[in-house]
Amino acid sequence: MALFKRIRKIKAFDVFLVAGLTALALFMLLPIVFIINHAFKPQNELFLFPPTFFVKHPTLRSFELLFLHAGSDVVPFTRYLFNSVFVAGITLALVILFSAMAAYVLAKKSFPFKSLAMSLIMISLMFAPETVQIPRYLIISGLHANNTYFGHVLPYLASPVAVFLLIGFIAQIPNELIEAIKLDGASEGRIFTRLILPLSAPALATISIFTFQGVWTDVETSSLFMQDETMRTLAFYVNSLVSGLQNSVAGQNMAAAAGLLVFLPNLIMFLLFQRMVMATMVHSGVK
Amino acid sequence: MGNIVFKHIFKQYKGEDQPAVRDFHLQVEDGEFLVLVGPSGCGKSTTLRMLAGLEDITRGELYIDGKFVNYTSPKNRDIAMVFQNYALYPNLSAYENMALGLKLRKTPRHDIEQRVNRAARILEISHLLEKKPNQLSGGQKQRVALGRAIVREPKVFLMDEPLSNLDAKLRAQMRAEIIKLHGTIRTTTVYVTHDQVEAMTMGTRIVVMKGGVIQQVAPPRELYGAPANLFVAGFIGSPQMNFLEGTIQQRDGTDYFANRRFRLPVAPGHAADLRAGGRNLRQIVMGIRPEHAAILPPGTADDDERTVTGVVEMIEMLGADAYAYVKSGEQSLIVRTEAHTPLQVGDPVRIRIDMGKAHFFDQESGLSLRTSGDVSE
Ligand SMILES: Nc1ncnc2c1ncn2[C@@H]1O[C@H](COP(=O)(O)OP(=O)(O)OP(=O)(O)O)[C@@H](O)[C@H]1O
Ligand SMILES: [Mg+2]
Repeated sequence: MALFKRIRKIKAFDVFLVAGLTALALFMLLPIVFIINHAFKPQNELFLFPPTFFVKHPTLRSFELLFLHAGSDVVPFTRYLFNSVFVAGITLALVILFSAMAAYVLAKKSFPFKSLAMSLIMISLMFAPETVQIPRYLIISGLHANNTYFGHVLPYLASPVAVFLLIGFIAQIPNELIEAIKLDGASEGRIFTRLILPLSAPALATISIFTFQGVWTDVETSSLFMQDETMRTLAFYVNSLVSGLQNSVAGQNMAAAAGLLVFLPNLIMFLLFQRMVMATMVHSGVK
Repeated sequence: MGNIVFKHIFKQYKGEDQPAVRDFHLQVEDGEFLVLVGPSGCGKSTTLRMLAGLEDITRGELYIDGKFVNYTSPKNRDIAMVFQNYALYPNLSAYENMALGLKLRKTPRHDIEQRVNRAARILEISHLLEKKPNQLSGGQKQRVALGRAIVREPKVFLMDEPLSNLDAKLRAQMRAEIIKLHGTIRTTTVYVTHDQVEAMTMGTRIVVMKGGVIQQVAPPRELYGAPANLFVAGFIGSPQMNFLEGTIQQRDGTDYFANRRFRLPVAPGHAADLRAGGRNLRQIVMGIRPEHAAILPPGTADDDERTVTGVVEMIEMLGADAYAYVKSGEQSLIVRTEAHTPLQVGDPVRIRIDMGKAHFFDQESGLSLRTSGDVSE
């Protein structure tokens, strides 16, 4: 009876909305489904025409080929993987720290030339990454950061998008909360770690997702600043592998497997943080 | 011990042409419950925030417990504050909200537990300690906010309109509870409100402010019985004190307060005050509270000089009492009467004024002309 009543309450528009959004979500899901299936296809299925979406006889052959190939190289596959994980981890942590600190100051403090600082950050938003490649190179080599992890991390540290996102977010944190914790005995450092960071969690999650994606799939730092093969990242390796083996038949197998390997951490990051993105916790303590 | 000394304190916000607080000079004794009251924008919050260290003091000196604290940071002033919107940390549970201040001050763990649990017992929120602020009602949040202040056992409590987000019934209840709490822990408290009822019921002493300037500092009874100026007289008391304009005239050796419509004999005790010090007696405002005027029953002999006549305009029922709004010429007077008065709107009435309870003010300066207290007629 109760269920019946509930069903009757659902309006036609709701049905339309849910159906429409579900269809859209399914459509967006297609490439992911394809990547996963593709990685497990045996060779003959890879070359089928018309191409198929779902794998018929799943096999790990592609991964085998990939790891075999990597094993025969000078630099082991695991070295690339370690470089990627290490660089992504450090970059993520530092981007969050620096962006949040900058945003806290810009959102909640007043100081001379604040609006100038804001405009500079705003202007830096307008440059496409390609336009700053040469200055970046000059800076990295000037700092002798070629072939170091620092060279991987540095270009990402100043993230105007992250700073702006966080300024908007932190500005919404009521001043009373900051005053309350000050009276509770917190120093600026404690205010930042105990209040600003936890309350910015949803924004930090968003930043983590896009920063990680950026770093994880980036080949620029590896190809421009790293001449030493042992300092290059997984994304670079996969990229060179795929482009180098484009025409070979085995290349297609490896490309499919590598594509999944590069994609997977992105997916995991997203699933990990999307809950936090949804949770908006800032307003609950006030009023 | 938490005594506070304000020495000629000024606050000038950047970009404002008038100071928000002007020459705030006051001493607060240890254990007092001081209420700052006044209309919106009069500088109450500014004063409180200077005391907390959240705003710089432009000029003047501030001492807490004998220590000069103008440049002391908020965390080193040993004060706790309760905010109007509670300002609970949304990511922490009620327990953690109360414990954080102690944790930041490196209080031993078992000590924290003991203090939080004791405060929770006093405030009857022991069963809510695990909840996050968004799972609490307004009244419960306010209790947690109070708890956060009392576990710190500070020298001074500051409260900025802590009850104004609560509904009327809860507000009355929390008001009583804060008074009770102050009775138990006896910590010096500075409490800001714009509600004069709150001020009168809670304060051991009340500071009335207007435009950044202290108008009067007095215990509630004195504030009500002997307002220092027209502003305080009008601000404290509900419904408002009635104000009549006129002059003081002498006839047959008696002083009268008179204008075109009436002539009321001034009580002898007041007459001496008025005559003292060669004051301008041509522009006087007489104030009389609604309970110090009475509507005479019809048919009373009309040989009493202390009466004013008028017509009932409106009757406001309050349950035990009623207030009659009487129009007398241009003047409107509010008179307290019994609830079951047979009065009707439009009735002509005679009002007898208790002249011994009247207040006289200089119209120009607004200052009270009284030097003694109530006098008998
Ligand atoms: N940060 C500020 N910058 C400039 N002017 C301010 C600032 N804060 C307050 N003022 C001004 O100072 C005056 C006093 O403000 P304050 O907040 O102390 O008033 P209040 O008595 O607490 O009023 P309310 O009852 O509305 O809270 C007001 O005129 C206000 O406009
Ligand atoms: Mg205020």
